[in-house]
Amino acid sequence: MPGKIEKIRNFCIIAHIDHGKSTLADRLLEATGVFAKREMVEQILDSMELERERGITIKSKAVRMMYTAQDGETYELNLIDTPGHVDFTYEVSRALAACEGAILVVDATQGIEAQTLANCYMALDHNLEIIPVINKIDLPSAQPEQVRSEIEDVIGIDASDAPCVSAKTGQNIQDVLEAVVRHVPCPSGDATQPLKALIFDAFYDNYRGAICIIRVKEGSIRAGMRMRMMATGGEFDVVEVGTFNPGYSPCDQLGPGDVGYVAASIKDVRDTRVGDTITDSMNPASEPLPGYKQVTPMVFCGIYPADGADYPALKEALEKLRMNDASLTFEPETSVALGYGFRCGFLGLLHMDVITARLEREFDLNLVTTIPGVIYHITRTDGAKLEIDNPTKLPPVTEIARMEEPYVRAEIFSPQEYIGTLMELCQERRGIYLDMQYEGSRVKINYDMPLNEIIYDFFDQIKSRSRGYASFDYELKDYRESDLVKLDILLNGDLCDAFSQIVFRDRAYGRGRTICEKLKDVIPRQQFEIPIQAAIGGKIIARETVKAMRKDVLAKCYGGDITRKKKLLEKQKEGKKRMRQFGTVQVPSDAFLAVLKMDET
Amino acid sequence: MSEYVTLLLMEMEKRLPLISPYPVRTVYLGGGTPSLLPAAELTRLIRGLSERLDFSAVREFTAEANPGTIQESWLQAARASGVNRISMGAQSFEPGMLRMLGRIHTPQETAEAVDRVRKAGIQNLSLDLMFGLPGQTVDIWRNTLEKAISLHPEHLSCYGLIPEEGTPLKRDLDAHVLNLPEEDTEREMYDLTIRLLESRGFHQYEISNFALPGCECIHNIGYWRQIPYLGLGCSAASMLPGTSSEPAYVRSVNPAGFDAYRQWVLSHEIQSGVEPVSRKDAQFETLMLGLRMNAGVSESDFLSMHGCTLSSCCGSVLRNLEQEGLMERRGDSVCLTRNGMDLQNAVLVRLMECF
Repeated sequence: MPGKIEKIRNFCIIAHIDHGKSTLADRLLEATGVFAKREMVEQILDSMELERERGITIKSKAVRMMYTAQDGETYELNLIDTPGHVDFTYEVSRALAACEGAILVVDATQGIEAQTLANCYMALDHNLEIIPVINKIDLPSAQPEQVRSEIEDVIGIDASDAPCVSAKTGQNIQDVLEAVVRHVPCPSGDATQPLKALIFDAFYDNYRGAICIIRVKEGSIRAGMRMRMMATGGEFDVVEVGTFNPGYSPCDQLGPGDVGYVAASIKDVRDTRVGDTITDSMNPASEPLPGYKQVTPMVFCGIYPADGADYPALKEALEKLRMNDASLTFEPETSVALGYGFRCGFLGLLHMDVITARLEREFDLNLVTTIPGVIYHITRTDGAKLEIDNPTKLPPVTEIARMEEPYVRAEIFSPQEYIGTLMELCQERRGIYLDMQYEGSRVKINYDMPLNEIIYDFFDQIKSRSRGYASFDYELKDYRESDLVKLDILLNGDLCDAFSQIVFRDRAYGRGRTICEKLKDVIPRQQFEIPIQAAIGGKIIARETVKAMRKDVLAKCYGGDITRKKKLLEKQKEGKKRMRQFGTVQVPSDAFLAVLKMDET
Repeated sequence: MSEYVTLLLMEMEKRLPLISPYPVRTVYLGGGTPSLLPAAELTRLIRGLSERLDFSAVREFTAEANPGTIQESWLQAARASGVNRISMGAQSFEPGMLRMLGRIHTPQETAEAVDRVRKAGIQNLSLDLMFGLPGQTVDIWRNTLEKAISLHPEHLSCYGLIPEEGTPLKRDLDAHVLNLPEEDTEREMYDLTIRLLESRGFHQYEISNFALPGCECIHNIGYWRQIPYLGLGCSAASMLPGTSSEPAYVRSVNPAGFDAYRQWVLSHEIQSGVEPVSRKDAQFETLMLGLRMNAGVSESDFLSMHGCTLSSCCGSVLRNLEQEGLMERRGDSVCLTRNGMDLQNAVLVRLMECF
């Protein structure tokens, strides 16, 4: 049974990557006996291999800990984990809306980082009580006092009581739990009101269907109840409610302030929208909780199996991933060049990277990924409006009256010395300067930027230009009219649709030239000469030629050479397998990567 | 040298049961430099072989010779023992090219060696030449070809250079101390070879081989027609018929290096480096080897060798290759076009999918 509302503390941990969020979470779980030390798998909350590798947390979870504080009372602490990346800003905001407090972990050796700050402001926006914790005090280079004053200066919160801990060694972990009990306000809510529960995460369980992770704000939810999703209108019979500690721990009901799960035989995780409000179908709330937003993919690309025979396997893999990831969209598409595949939509580039990496790693698929793009708004000459997520679907130029592209508001935090080069980068990418703010020794610059310009290698560029110190956040702002053209690549005169992309007109020449040059380097010589052309509409704007292969023959082949010759042919055959047939031309799968990784500067 | 000849004869003795049912049609003394073998040892070797093997049907008996080492006495002994063809590694008639290849002989020595071969009464002479060498121009190559022709050989093997891993040449190429001619230039040399030699009566019968009518190397054609062969000595390769339909035949390679070879001969093991070749693989090899020859692969030979037709194995790929101008039909045979010969590997990789 969940305790009385006064004894509940709902909180999350916010931190910059590498500042020790997961390790601290582990120590808290350990200290409250959720896990015995020897049972601890390193970093429980980051359960996916990939997440651990990249040091990011993709999906949030909630774990309940029972803690008997120094005042002798036992408290129910709900630790809500939040995703830590720019692509998942909305998910973070929903997880924060489920909390009353947040532990702010700051690395005693590095101080406050841009991402920490961004999340911290978000937490303040949600009126969360911030509990600063200074971590890594075991390191020789730790400067806890300097970091303490930095927290006060930069964020403007009192850090005089901030616990100084080492999540690694477990030193002073108890102080953190005490601070949570003392400083995080208990939740409020009226059990007699109609049910309002916030869905802040969901995942797919093979045996129970989609599981919603919720925070009850008003009323209560129990098994047997008919529940309704207020945004989607879906209705389901509640099969079970409970908490995680860390496995399923069923209980009779979840009341105001409680954090837990709801199982309701929901077949599709897409019926459980993060941010949606669950209410009682028999006694519905009049208003949903605020803040719901339908998450829509912003970045699109085609994903094709390198070997056409893997299409069913790719489909199955995508379906499996979507079960746990409502923000992933995909639909079948065919490419003249690549055959059968899927148009996939992602929240952002990182999301795309994570999904493609998981497809390759967990499902052992060999993929060809096309150039990522965004959704363009097209107004045709007849007044009809279209949304295009695939360059090949663009109507002929003569039928287009107006094209609009998405702009984002980009926010870059960086130490002062890199600001110049970062601003240059933003200008190069058609950024529109908004403003600049100094925050301690760091500077925040704001730009409006076309989304199309940041989906190439913008992250990499920011990192390399700032030696890894700067960080970057963005959110979709609006659509703006833009002079866009479709850039096509022709191989041996045939349009290779997989390389088509929509680009800003002034960029088309440069990009066309670069792509042709790159392709010339990666396409091996073949039986005939291959012209590689870049074209806008019918106009060729760049051309390169792969000369015909003149010689592919072994001069000598007598008795002793036969075995070796066969091995050589086998090797050549293997190499051919890694090629895609484009009309008459063989293109290695790496060609797409080469085009993607191009550096125009 | 003497010990090596002894070991060769011992090996022959041991492997005799494998080939005794078959008549010997060609003999080839090569690999390494047989012309370094003292005349007496050469005589002992050939006599030893002919005592145990039936040489009565031998039509062609080739010995490889190095122009720098070839002696009159050796030639006399060879001729007397039955050698009727000499294959000489002339390589080039340009002193600079020869030095680069690390050859010890001069163009003059090659001419003298040819003279000695003729004086010894050997009617059939082949010269090996190389093109596509670092620093070689089309004109230098033409000059070499002309000089070779002027020595009136019956046969010419002209090889485009393939730098082998581990050789000093390969090392220099990798380090860009030396540079190969452009691919287009190399093919120009090849084109010139075919044109020039045809005009002087040498017809091309294989990718790298040219002969006056009737002087084609029967022994080498045997490799390309999958006729079984027994190889004796260090690293020697053999191909012997399988016992039934599968495997079609068995390839084997002797141990490399003198010590390993000696140990192997003296031990009781008979075979080494054995590689059974399945029927399917043998079918592919018919194409892989047969298509090296201008005559190509005949439908009827394929059928009699494998019991199935060529078109049932790879008909559609053959048709595509014909359409692309890489292959053509000539009567009962399929063969590579001139363009196809340049790209034989690419053609074979596509045919490989069928087997």
